Amino acid sequence: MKKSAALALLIALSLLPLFAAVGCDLNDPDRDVKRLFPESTGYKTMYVSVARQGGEALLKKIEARLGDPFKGLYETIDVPYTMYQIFKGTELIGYIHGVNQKGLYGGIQVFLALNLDGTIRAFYFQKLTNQSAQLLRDPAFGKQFVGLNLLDFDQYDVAARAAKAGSKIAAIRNPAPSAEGDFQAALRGAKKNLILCDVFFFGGRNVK
Amino acid sequence: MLKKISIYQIAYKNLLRKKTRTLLTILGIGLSAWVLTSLFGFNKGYESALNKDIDNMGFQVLLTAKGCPYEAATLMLKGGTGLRYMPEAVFKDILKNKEVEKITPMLMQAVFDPNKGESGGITAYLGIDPATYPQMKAFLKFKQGGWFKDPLAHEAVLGYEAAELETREVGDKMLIPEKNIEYKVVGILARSGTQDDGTIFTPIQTLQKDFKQEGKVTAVGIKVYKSANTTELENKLYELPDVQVVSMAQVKTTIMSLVSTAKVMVFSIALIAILIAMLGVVNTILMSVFERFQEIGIIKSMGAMPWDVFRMIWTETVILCTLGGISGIAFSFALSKITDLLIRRLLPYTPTGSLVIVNGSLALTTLGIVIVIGLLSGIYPSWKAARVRPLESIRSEGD
Amino acid sequence: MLVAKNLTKIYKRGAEEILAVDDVSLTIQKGEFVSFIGPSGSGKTTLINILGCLDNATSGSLSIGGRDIFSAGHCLSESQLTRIRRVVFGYIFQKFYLVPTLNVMENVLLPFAFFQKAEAQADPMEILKFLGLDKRIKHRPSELSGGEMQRVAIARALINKPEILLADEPTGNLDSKRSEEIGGVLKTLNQKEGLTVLLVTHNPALARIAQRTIALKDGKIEA
Repeated sequence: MKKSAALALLIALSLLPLFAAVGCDLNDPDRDVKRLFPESTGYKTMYVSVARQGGEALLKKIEARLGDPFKGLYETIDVPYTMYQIFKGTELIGYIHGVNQKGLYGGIQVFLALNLDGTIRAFYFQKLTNQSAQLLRDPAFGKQFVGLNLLDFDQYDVAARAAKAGSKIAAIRNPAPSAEGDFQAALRGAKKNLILCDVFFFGGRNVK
Repeated sequence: MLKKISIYQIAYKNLLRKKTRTLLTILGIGLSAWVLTSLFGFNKGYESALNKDIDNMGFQVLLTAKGCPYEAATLMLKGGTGLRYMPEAVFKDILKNKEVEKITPMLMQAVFDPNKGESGGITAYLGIDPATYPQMKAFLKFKQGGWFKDPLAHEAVLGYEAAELETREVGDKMLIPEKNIEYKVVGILARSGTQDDGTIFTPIQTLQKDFKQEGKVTAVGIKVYKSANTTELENKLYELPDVQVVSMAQVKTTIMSLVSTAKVMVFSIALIAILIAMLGVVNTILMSVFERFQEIGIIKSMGAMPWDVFRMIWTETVILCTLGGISGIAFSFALSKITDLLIRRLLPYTPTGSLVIVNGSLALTTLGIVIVIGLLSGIYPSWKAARVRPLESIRSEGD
Repeated sequence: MLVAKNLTKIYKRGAEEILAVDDVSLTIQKGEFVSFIGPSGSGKTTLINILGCLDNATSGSLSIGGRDIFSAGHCLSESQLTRIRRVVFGYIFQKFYLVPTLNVMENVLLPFAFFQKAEAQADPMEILKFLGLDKRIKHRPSELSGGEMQRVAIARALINKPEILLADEPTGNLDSKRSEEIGGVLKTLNQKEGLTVLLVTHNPALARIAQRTIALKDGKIEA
């Protein structure tokens, strides 16, 4: 009895898995890709990082475009970004990419599904901890992002947490005023996501 | 000007005759030596990592509520608490004993967090007494902030990795899922290499209130006076109703005995691997002896005694085993991290910290073993070569 | 110096008993060059193996330089034979038997790895020069001609200053020109160095360079 108690307690105490989750993958790629691109037949996964694509110089460009410096565990220069290329047969039809973003109560994961021209096809939270999480996770919230692109997000000042009046970003409504911090985090996350997609998928055509 | 040639030179040049064969034999021995060194390294590393984990618990005896421990663990793993509790009144009974220096109560509570990982997971919280727990774990260092002071505050201290996972810093807020209660992060611990790295600490009274477990604890850590007899204390504590006494020394013994069963199995496999590699050596040398029968005969005719021939062939075996042993040891040094990872995948419980420790003395021990086994396996081919009669080997001259 | 009396060698081949050497007696003086000829199966190689202490006789006696090697059919152990061989004999064979992984110099010095006579030459270059091999000392056997290889074998046989050089079909693998060269070397060694040479050959021309020829047939010396 002594021995089994000892063992059980140690198992119980060591419950918390010690993992360093640095990248951002889809929880279930097969299921999620099909959900976001019902017409797809397959996908390819690429792993890239700012360090390998362009190093410090590229990081500076990204930060300048974002209007906010990279900081924390999920924004280091060697974070591996998982980029999904979606196919119908052999034809490329779109992209999926997720980023980690610091939220009010924990880490947030913002996923975007993009069309070939870089416009948002879908927006959703894969991870979000908030009392009003269900309001933000509601599809109606994500629908507000459909059709937007990186140039639209230029109208959003990340540092000031404010969108230019009359811009498409300003039109995005926050359904949970008590979760304003996470709403702003979602916008920063979306802009960061679009910038990274521009760099890794579109050859940095919009990030100069 | 070369005046003499040694048996060693003849031996190693013989090995160069069939380079591929020699290389493959060395590789075979190298792989066995790698397995053996890694096993020895694991033997050393696991025990010291376990000791470190246990030492870092800060107390020598742990008291928990009685109940089926496996059930408790399973319930914890699947969701909900399922733990049994002890009333706080038990403190008085514990403190009665003269061996007890101090005690610290703990309450473990868990919730299911749908946001964790792929399909949700358990987040556990450890309620501790800010007045007594930090003193027992004085070696815990902070990366940011410090312990909470107010025993009733909604504050939390996060282990290094728990904080990194949720990008929390001092001043940030934390939400307990299901309960939707906010806590403020006041401290983040520095990386300790123990399970504390993944723990979320809160004041025990706050946790008791929020989880409606007032007056209850799941464990009491007991620090024993250095001079005290821990076994005696444990026996006395057993008298208390509805509690289980867990001695850290026992925990270690339990785990070590579980691990040693696994170790015996793995050592057997390593031994078989070595025997197979050695058979490879015997085969290689024997083949080489058969190929050189006539040459050995001639060497005998020029004055080599059986012992000279035996020594020559034996030297070839030793060279092969030494080279194989060294390369195997080099592999194990270079790949110790990967070996660590592999073992972590295979074992159910692994302490934090390096599981595989490979150092100089270990390397020499393995090399010694490999060479000894090499010497033993070289005996038969060398003896066979020593027995060659010159005439038999050149009889093919005819008549 | 070499006295053989009533040497007989019988060996078994399956159920058959073969009388390879039949009651052979001979005496070879120090510094003599003797050739043994005879057809295949005549017993010349078997006889020379016994004289050269590579094998025991079934019966008979042998003494070299006044030392009794064996008598009354008393067999010597392999170790005992080795001890005699390394002091008295140097051997060369049809197949050269050089170690392919060692170069010329290393092959020549090979006997020193096991045994070095006090009076043995410390510097092998003299022997190598004499045999015309001084420019080839770093070459491996695979880089030498047949004649050169046999000369290396001769140098190796001589390194420990043997009393008797035993040559069993030394030109069997060589063309006539090289055979002549080797024959010449053996003759020079005998005449200039006073080395006792026992030569086995089925080549009558080569046999004639010796001072004396012993012909064998069916295990016996032909009159």
